[in-house]
Amino acid sequence: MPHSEVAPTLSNVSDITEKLEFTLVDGARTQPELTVYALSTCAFCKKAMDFLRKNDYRFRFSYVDNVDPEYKREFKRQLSNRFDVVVVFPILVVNDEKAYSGFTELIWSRAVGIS
Amino acid sequence: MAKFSLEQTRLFVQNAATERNWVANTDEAFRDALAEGLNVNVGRYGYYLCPCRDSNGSRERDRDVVCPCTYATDDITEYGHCFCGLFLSPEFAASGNEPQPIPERRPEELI
Repeated sequence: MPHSEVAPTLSNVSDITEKLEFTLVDGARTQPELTVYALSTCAFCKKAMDFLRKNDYRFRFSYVDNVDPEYKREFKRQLSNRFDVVVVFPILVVNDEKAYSGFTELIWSRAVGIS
Repeated sequence: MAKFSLEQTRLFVQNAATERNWVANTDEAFRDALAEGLNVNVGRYGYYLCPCRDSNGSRERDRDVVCPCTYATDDITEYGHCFCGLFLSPEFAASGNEPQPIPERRPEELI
Protein backbone atom coordinates (compact mmCIF):
# COMPACT_ATOMS: atom_id res chain seq x y z
CA MET A 1 0.00 0.00 0.00
CA PRO A 2 1.53 3.34 -0.97
CA HIS A 3 2.29 5.61 1.86
CA SER A 4 0.30 8.80 1.76
CA GLU A 5 1.00 11.74 3.91
CA VAL A 6 -1.94 13.47 5.45
CA ALA A 7 -1.41 17.15 5.94
CA PRO A 8 -2.19 18.25 9.45
CA THR A 9 -5.49 20.07 9.63
CA LEU A 10 -6.87 22.42 12.19
CA SER A 11 -9.05 19.63 13.51
CA ASN A 12 -5.84 17.99 14.76
CA VAL A 13 -5.09 20.94 16.94
CA SER A 14 -5.75 19.88 20.50
CA ASP A 15 -5.84 23.36 21.95
CA ILE A 16 -8.53 25.19 20.09
CA THR A 17 -7.41 28.52 21.43
CA GLU A 18 -3.85 28.14 20.20
CA LYS A 19 -3.97 30.89 17.59
CA LEU A 20 -6.06 33.38 19.49
CA GLU A 21 -4.66 36.45 21.17
CA PHE A 22 -5.91 37.06 24.67
CA THR A 23 -6.02 40.19 26.78
CA LEU A 24 -6.02 39.76 30.54
CA VAL A 25 -8.22 42.03 32.63
CA ASP A 26 -7.17 42.02 36.25
CA GLY A 27 -9.58 41.85 39.14
CA ALA A 28 -9.66 40.91 42.80
CA ARG A 29 -11.94 37.93 42.17
CA THR A 30 -9.75 35.31 40.56
CA GLN A 31 -12.12 32.35 40.79
CA PRO A 32 -13.68 30.89 38.81
CA GLU A 33 -11.39 31.11 35.79
CA LEU A 34 -13.19 33.13 33.16
CA THR A 35 -12.64 33.45 29.44
CA VAL A 36 -14.76 35.59 27.16
CA TYR A 37 -14.89 35.18 23.39
CA ALA A 38 -16.27 38.35 21.87
CA LEU A 39 -16.59 40.48 18.78
CA SER A 40 -14.77 43.80 18.87
CA THR A 41 -17.77 45.42 17.18
CA CYS A 42 -20.56 44.16 19.44
CA ALA A 43 -22.19 46.39 22.08
CA PHE A 44 -23.53 43.48 24.14
CA CYS A 45 -19.99 42.07 24.24
CA LYS A 46 -18.75 45.37 25.69
CA LYS A 47 -21.62 45.37 28.14
CA ALA A 48 -20.82 41.81 29.21
CA MET A 49 -17.17 42.60 29.87
CA ASP A 50 -18.13 45.80 31.70
CA PHE A 51 -20.28 43.61 33.92
CA LEU A 52 -17.26 41.44 34.80
CA ARG A 53 -15.09 44.52 35.38
CA LYS A 54 -17.72 46.17 37.55
CA ASN A 55 -17.88 43.04 39.68
CA ASP A 56 -14.09 42.95 39.95
CA TYR A 57 -13.52 39.62 38.22
CA ARG A 58 -10.25 38.72 36.63
CA PHE A 59 -10.84 37.37 33.14
CA ARG A 60 -9.22 37.04 29.77
CA PHE A 61 -10.87 37.84 26.48
CA SER A 62 -10.26 37.39 22.81
CA TYR A 63 -11.83 39.21 19.87
CA VAL A 64 -12.68 36.40 17.51
CA ASP A 65 -13.53 38.68 14.59
CA ASN A 66 -9.87 39.69 14.35
CA VAL A 67 -8.51 36.25 13.42
CA ASP A 68 -7.94 34.44 10.15
CA PRO A 69 -11.32 33.32 8.69
CA GLU A 70 -10.27 29.71 8.06
CA TYR A 71 -8.98 29.26 11.58
CA LYS A 72 -11.99 31.06 12.96
CA ARG A 73 -14.43 28.65 11.31
CA GLU A 74 -12.63 25.69 12.82
CA PHE A 75 -12.33 27.38 16.19
CA LYS A 76 -16.07 28.08 16.27
CA ARG A 77 -16.89 24.53 15.23
CA GLN A 78 -14.70 23.08 17.96
CA LEU A 79 -15.98 25.51 20.57
CA SER A 80 -19.53 24.56 19.71
CA ASN A 81 -18.79 20.83 19.87
CA ARG A 82 -16.72 21.00 23.02
CA PHE A 83 -19.20 23.00 25.06
CA ASP A 84 -22.40 22.17 23.22
CA VAL A 85 -23.27 25.81 22.61
CA VAL A 86 -24.55 27.81 19.69
CA VAL A 87 -21.82 30.28 18.85
CA VAL A 88 -23.50 33.59 19.62
CA PHE A 89 -21.22 36.26 21.03
CA PRO A 90 -20.22 36.98 23.70
CA ILE A 91 -19.43 33.51 24.99
CA LEU A 92 -18.37 33.04 28.60
CA VAL A 93 -16.33 29.95 29.45
CA VAL A 94 -16.11 29.08 33.14
CA ASN A 95 -13.23 26.96 34.42
CA ASP A 96 -12.81 25.59 30.90
CA GLU A 97 -15.78 23.37 31.67
CA LYS A 98 -18.98 25.16 30.84
CA ALA A 99 -19.87 27.84 28.33
CA TYR A 100 -22.68 30.37 28.16
CA SER A 101 -23.68 31.83 24.84
CA GLY A 102 -24.87 35.46 24.70
CA PHE A 103 -24.92 37.92 27.59
CA THR A 104 -27.77 37.77 30.05
CA GLU A 105 -26.79 39.40 33.33
CA LEU A 106 -28.76 37.00 35.49
CA ILE A 107 -27.27 33.93 33.82
CA TRP A 108 -23.74 35.31 33.91
CA SER A 109 -24.20 36.30 37.57
CA ARG A 110 -25.03 32.73 38.47
CA ALA A 111 -22.26 31.38 36.25
CA VAL A 112 -19.55 33.41 38.00
CA GLY A 113 -20.96 32.85 41.48
CA ILE A 114 -22.74 36.09 42.29
CA SER A 115 -25.65 35.04 44.44
CA MET B 1 -13.09 48.30 0.77
CA ALA B 2 -15.65 51.01 1.28
CA LYS B 3 -14.52 53.64 3.72
CA PHE B 4 -17.10 55.74 5.44
CA SER B 5 -16.67 58.23 8.18
CA LEU B 6 -18.28 57.50 11.52
CA GLU B 7 -20.60 60.42 10.84
CA GLN B 8 -21.74 58.79 7.57
CA THR B 9 -22.37 55.55 9.41
CA ARG B 10 -24.37 57.36 12.09
CA LEU B 11 -26.44 58.87 9.29
CA PHE B 12 -26.91 55.41 7.74
CA VAL B 13 -28.29 54.17 11.07
CA GLN B 14 -30.64 57.11 11.37
CA ASN B 15 -31.88 56.77 7.79
CA ALA B 16 -32.34 53.00 8.07
CA ALA B 17 -34.50 53.55 11.14
CA THR B 18 -36.54 56.39 9.67
CA GLU B 19 -37.25 54.55 6.40
CA ARG B 20 -38.75 51.61 8.30
CA ASN B 21 -40.57 53.52 10.99
CA TRP B 22 -38.15 52.25 13.61
CA VAL B 23 -36.29 54.28 16.19
CA ALA B 24 -32.51 54.18 16.53
CA ASN B 25 -31.62 53.29 20.12
CA THR B 26 -31.88 56.47 22.16
CA ASP B 27 -29.06 55.43 24.52
CA GLU B 28 -26.35 57.43 22.82
CA ALA B 29 -23.39 55.46 24.20
CA PHE B 30 -24.91 52.10 23.25
CA ARG B 31 -26.02 53.36 19.81
CA ASP B 32 -22.64 54.88 19.14
CA ALA B 33 -20.83 51.70 20.14
CA LEU B 34 -22.88 49.89 17.50
CA ALA B 35 -22.33 52.63 14.92
CA GLU B 36 -18.60 52.32 15.55
CA GLY B 37 -18.87 48.55 15.10
CA LEU B 38 -20.73 49.02 11.83
CA ASN B 39 -18.10 51.50 10.74
CA VAL B 40 -15.32 49.00 11.46
CA ASN B 41 -17.21 46.34 9.52
CA VAL B 42 -17.85 48.46 6.43
CA GLY B 43 -14.15 49.31 6.37
CA ARG B 44 -13.22 45.67 6.86
CA TYR B 45 -15.71 43.89 4.59
CA GLY B 46 -17.12 46.60 2.35
CA TYR B 47 -20.66 46.25 3.66
CA TYR B 48 -22.46 46.97 6.88
CA LEU B 49 -22.19 43.56 8.49
CA CYS B 50 -24.26 43.38 11.66
CA PRO B 51 -21.83 44.31 14.45
CA CYS B 52 -23.23 41.55 16.66
CA ARG B 53 -22.66 38.76 14.16
CA ASP B 54 -19.46 37.25 12.91
CA SER B 55 -18.66 37.24 9.20
CA ASN B 56 -18.77 34.01 7.23
CA GLY B 57 -16.18 35.45 4.89
CA SER B 58 -18.09 36.89 1.94
CA ARG B 59 -20.96 39.20 1.14
CA GLU B 60 -22.88 36.28 -0.34
CA ARG B 61 -22.60 34.24 2.86
CA ASP B 62 -23.28 37.26 5.05
CA ARG B 63 -26.16 38.66 3.05
CA ASP B 64 -28.82 37.80 5.65
CA VAL B 65 -26.89 39.72 8.32
CA VAL B 66 -26.12 42.88 6.42
CA CYS B 67 -27.62 45.68 8.51
CA PRO B 68 -30.56 45.99 8.83
CA CYS B 69 -30.55 42.20 8.88
CA THR B 70 -33.18 39.85 7.46
CA TYR B 71 -34.32 39.04 10.99
CA ALA B 72 -34.75 42.61 12.27
CA THR B 73 -38.41 43.03 11.34
CA ASP B 74 -39.47 39.81 13.08
CA ASP B 75 -37.32 40.58 16.13
CA ILE B 76 -38.66 44.11 16.41
CA THR B 77 -42.21 42.79 16.12
CA GLU B 78 -41.64 40.10 18.75
CA TYR B 79 -39.18 41.73 21.17
CA GLY B 80 -39.42 45.42 20.36
CA HIS B 81 -35.84 45.62 19.12
CA CYS B 82 -33.40 43.96 16.73
CA PHE B 83 -30.80 41.38 17.77
CA CYS B 84 -28.21 44.09 18.41
CA GLY B 85 -30.54 46.50 20.15
CA LEU B 86 -29.78 49.14 17.54
CA PHE B 87 -33.28 49.49 16.10
CA LEU B 88 -36.37 49.72 18.27
CA SER B 89 -40.07 49.76 17.59
CA PRO B 90 -41.61 53.16 18.42
CA GLU B 91 -43.58 51.48 21.23
CA PHE B 92 -40.47 49.93 22.75
CA ALA B 93 -38.62 53.23 22.48
CA ALA B 94 -41.48 55.02 24.25
CA SER B 95 -41.45 52.43 27.06
CA GLY B 96 -37.98 53.52 28.17
CA ASN B 97 -36.96 49.89 28.56
CA GLU B 98 -33.43 48.83 27.80
CA PRO B 99 -32.92 46.23 25.03
CA GLN B 100 -31.95 42.84 26.40
CA PRO B 101 -30.18 40.03 24.58
CA ILE B 102 -32.69 38.04 22.57
CA PRO B 103 -32.52 34.59 20.98
CA GLU B 104 -30.61 34.33 17.72
CA ARG B 105 -33.14 33.89 14.92
CA ARG B 106 -30.47 33.16 12.32
CA PRO B 107 -30.47 29.44 11.46
CA GLU B 108 -27.68 27.57 13.23
CA GLU B 109 -26.25 26.26 9.96
CA LEU B 110 -25.54 29.85 8.90
CA ILE B 111 -23.77 30.80 12.11
